[in-house]
Amino acid sequence: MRGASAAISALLLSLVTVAIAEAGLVGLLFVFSYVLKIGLRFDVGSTSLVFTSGAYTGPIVQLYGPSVIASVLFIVACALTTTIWTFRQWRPVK
Amino acid sequence: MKALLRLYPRAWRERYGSEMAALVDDLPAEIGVALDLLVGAGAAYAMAVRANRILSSAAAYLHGVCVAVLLQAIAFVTLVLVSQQSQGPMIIQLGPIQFGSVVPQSVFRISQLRSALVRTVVDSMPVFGLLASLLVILVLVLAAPRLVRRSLP
Repeated sequence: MRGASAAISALLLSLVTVAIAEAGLVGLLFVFSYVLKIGLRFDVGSTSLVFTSGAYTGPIVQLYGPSVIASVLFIVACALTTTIWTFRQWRPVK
Repeated sequence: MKALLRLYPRAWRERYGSEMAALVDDLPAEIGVALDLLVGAGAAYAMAVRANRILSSAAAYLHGVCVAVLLQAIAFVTLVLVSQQSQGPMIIQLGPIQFGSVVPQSVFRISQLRSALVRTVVDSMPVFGLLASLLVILVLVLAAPRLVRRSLP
């Protein structure tokens, strides 16, 4: 029971971490679109999120739903790879 | 200055706390000493994380997340850079799945007329700067675990 609750806690914590990372990435993209003076538009399902700074002169970048899914999968894959690698390679400190 | 010792891990404080407090009492209250204590606290936590398999794996998970976010940010800036060099719209897709597209602006202002080459170079400068800074941050993030491991006893 204790092991199961620990596993569920670890799973929830890892999901929250990925969600925070995704939110941070979206924030970074908004900052970049302001700095580079480009338009940014997210089209996820029927929802659209548009960000344009005052006088943008660059192109308009449109990102669709599959890019969000690919981004989440990429983050999870990277995180799991490093975690499994570290867990298997770990040796006690002498 | 002694308050900074509270930043150290509990096990470390129980083992070395009294000796360190006596040492800090003898040292002048300078910013250099405070910085030393802060770096020491970071190193003590790094040692505590390194000594535990689960904590090491959790730290590796966070490291992987940071690297993935940075790689995606670099990919985004590279996409903007490539789109600035191309003339028409760009569509990023894998088979039938469309991930995104870049549509260049068609606004043409006579007052801002410059030669195409100069405009491209000038417009690309912030992108190159951002890309270079992101690459430097990525290298630092990738090298950080090795640097921490080397600096620890």
